[in-house]
Amino acid sequence: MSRDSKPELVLRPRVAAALQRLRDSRDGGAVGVIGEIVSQLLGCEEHALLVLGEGGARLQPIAAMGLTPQRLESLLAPEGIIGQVARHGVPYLVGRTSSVGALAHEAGLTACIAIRSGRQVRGVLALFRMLPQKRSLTGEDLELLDVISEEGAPAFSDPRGGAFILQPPSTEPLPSRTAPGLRALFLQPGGVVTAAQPTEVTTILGSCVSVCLWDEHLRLGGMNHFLLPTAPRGQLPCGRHGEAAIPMLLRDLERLGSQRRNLRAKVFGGAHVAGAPAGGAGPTLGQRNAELARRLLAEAGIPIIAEDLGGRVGRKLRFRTEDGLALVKTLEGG
Amino acid sequence: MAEPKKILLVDDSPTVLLMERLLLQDGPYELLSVTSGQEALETALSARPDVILMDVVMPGMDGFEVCRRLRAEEATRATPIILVTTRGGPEHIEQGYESGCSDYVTKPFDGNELRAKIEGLLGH
Repeated sequence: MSRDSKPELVLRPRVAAALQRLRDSRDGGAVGVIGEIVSQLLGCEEHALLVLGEGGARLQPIAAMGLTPQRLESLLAPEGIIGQVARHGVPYLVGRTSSVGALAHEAGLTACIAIRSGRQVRGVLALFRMLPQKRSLTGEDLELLDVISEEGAPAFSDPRGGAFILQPPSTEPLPSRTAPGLRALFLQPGGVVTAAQPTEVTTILGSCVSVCLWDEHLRLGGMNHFLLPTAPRGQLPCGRHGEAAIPMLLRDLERLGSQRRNLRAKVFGGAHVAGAPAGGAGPTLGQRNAELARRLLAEAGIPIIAEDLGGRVGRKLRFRTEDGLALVKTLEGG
Repeated sequence: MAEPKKILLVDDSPTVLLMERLLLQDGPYELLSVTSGQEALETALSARPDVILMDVVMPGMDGFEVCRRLRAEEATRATPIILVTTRGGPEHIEQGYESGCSDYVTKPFDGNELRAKIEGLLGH
């Protein structure tokens, strides 16, 4: 792509890489490329690639990952949402399009798209469970799905054949990720959590910073985990950026009834684990994250009663919302 | 003019390597890429990159093991290593820091954030 192209024509790296790899694999390897796009670029851990048989009577599996053989078998009758997509070519996207007509075995379907040659639907790609850190499909994810829809058909005649990484049949139900009644949770980077019920929140920090806030009167609290002090240019600030993550945490606690004057802060992270010597060319990312936390908390009038910031090691942090107890374990490398 | 900083990209997925190249090609970087842990170890010791972006789940030697071995070598003891992986569970992130990584990024990642982390580790 020319550097002189208009900015709106420049594809983002994720989409551009997917497009180029699919075009380069027209003569073989498209099945593998679709698998890489789905698992690595979209963050989906269960999918099935199905080709529409003669007359559209049945779907045949070309590739699948993470599904049990029984689950894969249940998807092959062209019924339910997957059948609708195969017949009409209109994509299904959870939360964005109607799920009317979904069948029981389609529970957990995140997206289903048609894969075409020209105008003809040749097959479908069904995405089920996403990785735990992948919360929802973004606009860029939809562009990736469009690329697969338009460029993925060579997978149906891939001389290198299909690819199946199936789960063994399960006789016991899988353990729930968040067992009911167990008030312990892991906070992913970019997350903000507040809890009115006693909860232990765990997270792991390198250069990222977590602010823990505790209301000593109501005995409740919350925590964030931000990666950058401010949003990169052109991006909306969110929980991944301190400038948004700290106000979000404060607002959520105020919604639970907290008053700012009763809040106490503990701040952790901001390390420079390895790399250019700190102090070489200005503050490190960890220092900038820590400085932002201190500044925003000072502006909000919230005292920092404990902190463990900087240094050159990662930290595992456990915070109890009930009594504000924070335990830090350093993660020594080597 | 300063020498471009050398970045070693390690991933067994050619699609991920291509995406990382497209993301970083406009920066002041020299990009090297390899597709296995063994090659990562050899290239890190011979080419002495300024930053390593490394996948965890790879056939043969995984990213955690490469990390531990690079930390045991004098030449690469302080080389920044960002683990870039689909493994986002707490036990994996903890294992990453315990194996000596400098930062841990889960896939699918945000390009702007990854660039900011690289710049932070290079001391920009």
